[in-house]
Amino acid sequence: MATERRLPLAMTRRAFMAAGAAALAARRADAATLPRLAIIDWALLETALALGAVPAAASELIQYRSLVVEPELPGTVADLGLRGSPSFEMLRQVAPDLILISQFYDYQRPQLERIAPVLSLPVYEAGTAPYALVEASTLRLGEAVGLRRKARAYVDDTANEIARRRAALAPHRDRPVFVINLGDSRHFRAFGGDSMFGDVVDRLGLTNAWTDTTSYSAAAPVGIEALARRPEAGIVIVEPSPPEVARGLPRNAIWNALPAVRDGRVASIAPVSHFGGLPSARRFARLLEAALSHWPAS
Amino acid sequence: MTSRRVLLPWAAMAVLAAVLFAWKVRDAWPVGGDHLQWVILQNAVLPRAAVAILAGAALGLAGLLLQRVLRNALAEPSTLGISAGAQLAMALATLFAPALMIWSVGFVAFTGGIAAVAIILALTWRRGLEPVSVVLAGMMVALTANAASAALILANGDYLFSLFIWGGGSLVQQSWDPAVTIGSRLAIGLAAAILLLRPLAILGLDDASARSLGVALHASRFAIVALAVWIATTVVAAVGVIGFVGLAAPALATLSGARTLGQRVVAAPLIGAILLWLTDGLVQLVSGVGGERLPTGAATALLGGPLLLWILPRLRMMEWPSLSTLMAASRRAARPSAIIVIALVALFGAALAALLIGSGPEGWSVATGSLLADLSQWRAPRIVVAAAAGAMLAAAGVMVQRLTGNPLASPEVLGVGTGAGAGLTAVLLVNAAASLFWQIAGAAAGALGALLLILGVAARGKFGPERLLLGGVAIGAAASAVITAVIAMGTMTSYTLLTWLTGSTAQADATQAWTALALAVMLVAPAFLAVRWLEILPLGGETAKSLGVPLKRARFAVVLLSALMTAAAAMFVGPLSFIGLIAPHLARLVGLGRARDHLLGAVLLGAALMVLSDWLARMVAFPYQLPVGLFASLIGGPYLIYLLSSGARSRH
Amino acid sequence: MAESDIVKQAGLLALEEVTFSAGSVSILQPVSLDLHRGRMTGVIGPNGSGKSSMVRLVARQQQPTSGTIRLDGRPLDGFGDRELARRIAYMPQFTPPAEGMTVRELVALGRFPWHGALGRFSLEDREKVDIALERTELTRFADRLIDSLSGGERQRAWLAMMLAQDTACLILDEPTSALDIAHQADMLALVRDLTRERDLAALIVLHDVNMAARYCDELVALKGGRIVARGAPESIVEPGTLEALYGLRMGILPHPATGQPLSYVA
Repeated sequence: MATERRLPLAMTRRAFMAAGAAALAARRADAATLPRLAIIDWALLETALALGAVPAAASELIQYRSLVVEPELPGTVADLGLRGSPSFEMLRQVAPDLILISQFYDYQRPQLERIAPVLSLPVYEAGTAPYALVEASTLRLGEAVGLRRKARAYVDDTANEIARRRAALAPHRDRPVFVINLGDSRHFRAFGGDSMFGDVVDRLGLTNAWTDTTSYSAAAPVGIEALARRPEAGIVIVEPSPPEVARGLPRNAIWNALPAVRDGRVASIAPVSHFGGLPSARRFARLLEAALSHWPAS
Repeated sequence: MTSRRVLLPWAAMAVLAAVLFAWKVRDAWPVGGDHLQWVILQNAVLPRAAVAILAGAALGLAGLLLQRVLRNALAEPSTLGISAGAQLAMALATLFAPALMIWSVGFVAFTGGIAAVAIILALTWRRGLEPVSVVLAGMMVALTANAASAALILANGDYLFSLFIWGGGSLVQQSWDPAVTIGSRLAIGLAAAILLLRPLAILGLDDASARSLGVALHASRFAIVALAVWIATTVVAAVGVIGFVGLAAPALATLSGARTLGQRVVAAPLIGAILLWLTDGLVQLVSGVGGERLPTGAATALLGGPLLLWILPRLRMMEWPSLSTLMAASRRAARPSAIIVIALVALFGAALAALLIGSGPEGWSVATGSLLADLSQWRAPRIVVAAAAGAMLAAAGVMVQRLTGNPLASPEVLGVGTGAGAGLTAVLLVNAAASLFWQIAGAAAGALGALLLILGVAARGKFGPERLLLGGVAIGAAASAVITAVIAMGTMTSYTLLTWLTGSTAQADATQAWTALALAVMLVAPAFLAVRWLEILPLGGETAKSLGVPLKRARFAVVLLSALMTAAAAMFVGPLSFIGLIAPHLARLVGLGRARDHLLGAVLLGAALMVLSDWLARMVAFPYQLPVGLFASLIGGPYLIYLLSSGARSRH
Repeated sequence: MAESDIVKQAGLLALEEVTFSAGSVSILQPVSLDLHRGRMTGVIGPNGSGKSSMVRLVARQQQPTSGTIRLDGRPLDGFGDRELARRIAYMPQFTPPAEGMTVRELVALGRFPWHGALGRFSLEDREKVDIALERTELTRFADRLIDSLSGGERQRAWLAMMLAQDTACLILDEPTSALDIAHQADMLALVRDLTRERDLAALIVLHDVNMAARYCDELVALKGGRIVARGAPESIVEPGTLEALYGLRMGILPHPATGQPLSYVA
């Protein structure tokens, strides 16, 4: 009996999906009210927040607040649990109109589609500088939630802000910079040209000292001695670092021998999402400019 | 003559390692008085070789000491869960007590390592520290600690990177500090070992002889175990988990003709040093500038698994008194059918509760009406998948325990579950975004590969129980090494693997539920056709043979069936859960002793336990979903320790 | 020659030039022996003389390296697993603890060769189990756990299992080694009586020469994998044979009551 009653609903839902998320988005574009959003991917979450589209629910909010930090997350957003395994029960009860994921979470798609139409936007692709991709996804996201103009404006604002900071960083133009995250006092991961940090470094007119290929998160641990390959480079550490680093790094002979360390060309910046969207790109650019302002010009 | 022939390969390996090292030194040699290059040569290239040599020697010595005092040729830091315990402690401290990590990483690691050993000794004390049981308990502790570490990583993506480094075991150095630390511990350990040579020799005898020779048995044994743990965890704290050197070095020392204990105290550290130095040289040879794709620790484990398989038939296991009576149920139910009905009610009760009761945006509620209809599409498949997996693991547990006559045996140690993980890893390496179908197909292929391997190993030993268990441990270790190596690469694949490793029914849908149910029915039903064999097999091969049981065929069928059940369950709930271990004991404890009742009761209780674990995993930190495997072990672990430590007392 | 042929034909079990070696170590030299219904044959000899190996070959726990063992004139190889278990029952030197099993359950396992893995446990099966329990005076212990029995009772339970197996031949490998003297005597008397009552062929490895001489109809003395003597107890228990067997000077006294020879270390 129950099944029979639910059948028509299920059919409309399936019809929705067949039509595709884009069709839904087009209809929503003119709507006065925002669709109820649920967002699994953090890059899309920060983007939506930056556009003023506060979602009804998103995943892993505790970590978001300490690692992504901005845009600030209103208390009204419900937590869906881990990005890797969001609570479908919770999501079901939130009853969103649209679920946003990136391609990393495509494996959840069949489950998510039973709750609401799913829009999957690419944010990172191996071997590609991500900024342009994230710009495109920002625009598509804006379109999907009926904030096309706002999205356009945000993309332009971000580009302008980065251009402005590029001018401010002109004295450091030829300075190569390592952007790294410490795994322990012996290892780091580097952010290369296919990471957001690497791309923003390029756009700021600086030189990324890490020229080897990385795989967007560049998470394979590298020994600190690799930093010696560019003795003239400065080093930017993206926090957080594990607690043990506080004790181990000052005792690291190679670290201490690096010209960057000896000459004070090392800066630590507050946490920024490694897989972020445009808001993270802006945050990174701002923190980087502030950090580099203490360095001697090259 | 013979000694020269045996020494030759070691000398050759040492020369090869030295050549690799010289090549590395030449590579790093400063040109034109470059100061920084000097610093790198002095503080990276040289100490790395020193650490490889010293850590290898330290692990070789730790392994030798542990093997001697526990009289167990398979005891070593990784089989005893010392490394995994140390790693878990470091992960916990990083997240919850960062000040401790700043104060002393070594202390944190030692605490974790000694806790792991304490648990294992407690688990196997009543069995007289029987080698196979010690190794099984070690594997259990290591699996649980690894799952807990993985869960922490998943919940705190942030520190993931450092945990990868520890888990992989990296010998990268930038100062002489670690080399000095490891070296000083090694020196103390060697000095102690030489001073303790006589008590050590006596501890290698059985307890009664040792006691009659006037050795303060437990005190010396614990002191030496603590010393070995200290040395081993120093290595873990300094460079991460380096597997199998501690196992291989003493075994190879013996196989190379080091007969007396004194000779072994010299040979085992030497061989450990050569092994690790050479392995690290090879790792550096294949690694590019963009970081090491294969951490040294994972590389040693990768070599160690096959090595263990090779060593096994060559090891002369010390005669050990059979103490398996200690796990006997002290009473038998007058009416087993009544107990089985109760177990059935428990299963349905658990399923109903899991279906109805839950947390939501507005707190706890009992779902009814349309909410229930809505939620049941998510809850029901999970319950079915959990129950099916629990039933299969429990049935496999009963079969493996009865086959081997060892109450600590469980399907997890067959290596089939981790084999499934290795298959999954292979699929994800080819395509990180592989669909669920391909993931399951990969897991199935991996499980099948491990299964064939274990059947091959077991067949060579005529499907004898000990060979089977130890072969399973070896395959599991090798497969784990593959998984660890890939996880240590820190890509998206790592996340997927970690999720699977911790065990999650989160993605269960109707298709999965039906598949799991069908598999459970198809695999558990034939197990009941084997109950007469299962009644006789615990009595050992001789009795089974004299009663006309077709021994090879029966053992083959039982191994095949339980491996298939383990593989099927692992695909749905990951490789770890204590259900396969606990459910059979629970069934026994409530008085189900005959094979058929035992099997049926365990299947029902296993399913109920798994449903309960899944519900807890889903609800305890709602909406954050915790790993179901971890919950199953949290429910089962303490109970098991209680059971094992109180089992003997109830008999007299 | 002709005479021995006749004996062979009459024998239930016959070993013909059987050898056994483990790797390169020869454990049994060519051994020939036959066993008859209604007779209890004891195997004695020093440690490492091949006693256990020989009976394990007869029970088909191991395959002989060469030679043939025949049961009812048919080579042992030709028997199916259960078919053989319906003819020969074997008690290993170390009986497993049989944890958590009741006496009746253990004894009922003796019926496995008859009903197999899937067959019904018939009324006849039940009767045979009851008879075995009764004959070994274990009926009142039937529902007790094996773990709770004394050593002697436990050994009787294993014997009961062999009886339930309803075979023509019993093979026991040092069944008395863990028992006190009274239980040793009980056990051996029981086996001897059963041999008579049921017209069984019994082959039993014993350590104690005097005990063996007291209960067995015939003794086989092994040394270095060869049969060095064979015959009635009186013909084996004499100083010359024993010294050859154990490499120790031994004396003989007549039993005060039965007059059977008793050995002692001289």
